[in-house]
Amino acid sequence: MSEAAPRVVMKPAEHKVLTPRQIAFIKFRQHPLAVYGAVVLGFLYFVVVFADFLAPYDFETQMRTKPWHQPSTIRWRHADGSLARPFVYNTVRVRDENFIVNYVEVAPENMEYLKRKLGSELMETPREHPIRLFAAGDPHRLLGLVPMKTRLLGIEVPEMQNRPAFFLLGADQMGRDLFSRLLYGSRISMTVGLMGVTVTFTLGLLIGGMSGYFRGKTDLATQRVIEMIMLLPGFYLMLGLRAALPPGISPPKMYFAIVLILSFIGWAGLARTIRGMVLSISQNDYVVASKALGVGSFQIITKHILPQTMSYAIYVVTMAIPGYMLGESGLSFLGLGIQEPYASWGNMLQAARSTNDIKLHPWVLLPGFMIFVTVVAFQFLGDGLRDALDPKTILRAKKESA
Amino acid sequence: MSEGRAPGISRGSILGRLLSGGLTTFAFKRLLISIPLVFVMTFVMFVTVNTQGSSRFDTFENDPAADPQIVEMEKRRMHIYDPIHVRYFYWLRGVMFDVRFTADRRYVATFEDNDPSRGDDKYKFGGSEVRLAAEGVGGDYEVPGPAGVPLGALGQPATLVKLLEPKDFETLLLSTADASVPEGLALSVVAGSGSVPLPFQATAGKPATLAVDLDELNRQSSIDQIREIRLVAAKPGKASIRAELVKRRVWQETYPGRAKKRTIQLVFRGTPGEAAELGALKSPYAMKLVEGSDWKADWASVQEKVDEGAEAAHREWKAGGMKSPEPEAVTVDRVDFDALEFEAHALQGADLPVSVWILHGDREKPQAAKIADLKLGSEEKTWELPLAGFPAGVDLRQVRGLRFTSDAPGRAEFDDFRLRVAGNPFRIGAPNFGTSWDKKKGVLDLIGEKVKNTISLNIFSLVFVWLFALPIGIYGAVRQHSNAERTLSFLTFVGMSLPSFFLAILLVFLVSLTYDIAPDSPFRWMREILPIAGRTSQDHSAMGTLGQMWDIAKHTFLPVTVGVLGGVGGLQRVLRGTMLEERRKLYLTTAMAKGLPPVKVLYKHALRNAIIPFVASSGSLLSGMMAGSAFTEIVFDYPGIGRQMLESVLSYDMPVVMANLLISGLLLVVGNLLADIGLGLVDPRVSVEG
Repeated sequence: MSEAAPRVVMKPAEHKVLTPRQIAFIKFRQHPLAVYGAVVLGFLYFVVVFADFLAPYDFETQMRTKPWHQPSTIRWRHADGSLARPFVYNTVRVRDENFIVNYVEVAPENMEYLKRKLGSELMETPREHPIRLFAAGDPHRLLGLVPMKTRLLGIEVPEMQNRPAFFLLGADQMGRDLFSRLLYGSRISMTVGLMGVTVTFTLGLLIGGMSGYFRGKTDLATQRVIEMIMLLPGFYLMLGLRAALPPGISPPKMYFAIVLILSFIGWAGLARTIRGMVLSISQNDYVVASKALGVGSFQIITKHILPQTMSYAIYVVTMAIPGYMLGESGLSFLGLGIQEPYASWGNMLQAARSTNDIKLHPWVLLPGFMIFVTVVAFQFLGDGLRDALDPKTILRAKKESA
Repeated sequence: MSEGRAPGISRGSILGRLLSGGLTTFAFKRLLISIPLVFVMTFVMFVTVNTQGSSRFDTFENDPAADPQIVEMEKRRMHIYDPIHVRYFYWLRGVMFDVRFTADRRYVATFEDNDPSRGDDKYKFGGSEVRLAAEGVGGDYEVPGPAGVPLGALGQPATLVKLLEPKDFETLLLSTADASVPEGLALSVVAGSGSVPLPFQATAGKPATLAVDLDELNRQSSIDQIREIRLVAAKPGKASIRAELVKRRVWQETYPGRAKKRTIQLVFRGTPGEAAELGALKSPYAMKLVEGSDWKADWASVQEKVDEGAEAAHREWKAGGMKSPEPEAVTVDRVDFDALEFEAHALQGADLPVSVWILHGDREKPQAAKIADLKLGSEEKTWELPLAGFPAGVDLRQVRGLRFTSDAPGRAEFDDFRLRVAGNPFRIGAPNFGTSWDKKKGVLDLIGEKVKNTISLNIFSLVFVWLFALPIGIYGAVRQHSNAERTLSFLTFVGMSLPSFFLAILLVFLVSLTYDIAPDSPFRWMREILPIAGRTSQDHSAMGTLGQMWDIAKHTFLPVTVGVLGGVGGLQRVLRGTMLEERRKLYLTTAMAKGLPPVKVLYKHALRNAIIPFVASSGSLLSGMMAGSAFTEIVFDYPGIGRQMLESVLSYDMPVVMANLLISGLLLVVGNLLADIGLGLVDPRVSVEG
């Protein structure tokens, strides 16, 4: 195959030298799953930024009359069958023959049933509540700055006891919109990984770099510290560190505490890998040459050695982010992380700890699927990045195309 | 090292390599490095964890009902005032040898072992129930004052209580405070879907009461919140209705772990000179009754509430007045123990004369023998009653309890009953990992069984992960790009990417779907096919040996499935990747070229080399698996140390947290060591370089 290469005649227009970055980009695009992963993640992070605008309700807004409401039926036709803009009917709570709670739409075709069931308690008449774009909703601050009431979707809410609501994905046990909480929850679940990885990355690169470069006693000490951290299983270490936090800590502090706990556990693995790479790189002649020229150690590590490890480190980091997400959602799932009323995908899953609740309201499982989708997206992205950043894979790509 | 190999044993044999010393030295070295590191790490964790150790007491300090003396005593008992390194050594001493509780598991050496809840979480004693008048509690509900609730026009309900969280309260007591009940008054609770009428029978001019079981109400409406309690009357008017909420498990929720505090405080009442027998340390019930009194100082007002498991026994106890169900006898062997020790001091009245009686012999009519007369001072003191000094005829093999009497009124506190082990240096020193703050029980007694459960869960998972990953990985490499291969690797990838706790929830969900199968359907055998909680059934002890094994297997199936689904993906990818790489190598081409059958080439050559990273990554798999199994234990209510860790973190029970950390660390060290030895066995290079 290598003999075949010179025979390829290149047209002058095609013959241009690609930078490594361009090559990596091209290789990345050849990896469809990785591209999908990147698109999904891009979309999710877009949601993170604009969560309050995209969510129909605030994460705290409770519809007190509608706990465990099923996903609303969105109707496209009026009662007479003619096309309408999408709307919902209000719902009332009805207990069926088996004492199971149901929400029944106050729609013309249900009125007879409702009257029979509720009798004089039924005070509502069928009324269409159209779903509007850019409707006024709960106040929020766009990007944390611009105070506004406009939300992407919403229905007009008349002042009444049994407020009509539209739940795209159902409601939780407090009557809060699950869809809105998923969006708000993404803010915590999706950023915890980034924050954690930033801390880990800095720590891991510096400590690993120093350990590998200086060797000797520095290396020995660092290695023992790393081993100590890796000696305890992550879950137990995580819970142990969590036990060191005082009870009743405020949610923002808790968020950063979780980031710190997870980074404390996570940096060791990265530092160890980086150390190994630095050990071999620092043997190279150009490092020796820089030393001979009198370049400072810090400069050699940061300018000459660490950039070499970067492509691998980026891959490791991408693959590490899901770990932080899982750590956070695990802690929150156990009730040790983000506390109510704040939403994170983990603490939303707490509702799924009761078998009865999952059975009757399976939509409480959705946060779990969100976690799953994100983890998969990161893994695809990581796979793609590894192939794209690995200089060896280009040969394989040519081989397959030939 | 290779020179040290015994002659006559072939180079390749596993036995030879184990004997040659290389591998053993390697393993030994690893162990030598790891064990001290575990202890250094536990010191770091001890310091970290115990920075918050005192926060456990904040709740008490802010609680006017908590007796400061007791809080103070508890603090001293937990060495809160000592410097941190001293506390660490206290802890370490407890880990190595703890004389406080049992010296040997054969002997039930403490009186605490009367507790039927020992080693079995089925019995959870809720502690004393405290009745709270609604005014005093605060919170998100309101009760009208004595003026009464104005009742609106006919059919227009008035609201009495708003937004209760039934999970915090157990009973709602409604009573008309005076005789001013309007005619036709009806109450209903708005909870869940619509309102539930309450059977409140009120006739004009007559007071009435109603106790609403909130749990029952909750079951009816399957909802967590009561919206409001409505009053409807035939005529407009006013009703004065008093609502009292009986709070549930107040000690457990507000003061984690307080419910199981075993300090016994006795209240000596009566005039001087009049003998008052006040409490016998006979059974948990008696203990609990007295226990409650240390908060209320008036034990008659303390209501007993015992959870399901003990309810029947409790009823019996109530019916028989003070007679409590007799616990199993405590067996004491004179040879092993030489003294009964306890801590005691008077809280009221200096020099409180107290007589200690021992109850022994017959279960129905135990004999009481006075063993000592004490004068309790206000200073806490350890009292030591040598067994040799007990009156003749006391049958120490059947101790039923202790009884304290006093000739003077006062309050005294007794604590830490234990039998001192006879002075045989080889008998003391059973490792016990200290004493749990919550349960006043040796930590090892508390978690020993759970450690075994966790180990067996992980071993099963690991074995099945190997069993599945090996063939799937090989198949993936041999039949690359086939549809079956794609499906398999997709499935394992999904299993790998699902968080273990979510996977567990999904399995619970799937199993719960089978409950819907109609009892007459042909698929009815699928109904409740798998248990989703615990490790054993309730009637486990009644089963035969085979039945018990089958029972445990059924209970362990789902947790193991979670572990396997989570673990297979990563491992089979490793194997598949290395197999594919090996297949490209020239030595395989050579082997094929010389005419070896493909099966032999595959299994003798390719697999032999590809298995090395497979075994190597099993070590790191174990760490992930232990984390995963912890979540699984929690979701499936499996009694293992993962679940225990969560419980003790929630209740800030630091000795148990530390013990869990230490044990899980040691398990990981041992696991990694085994993985290394395995690696040394499959990879000759390791042992030579070791």
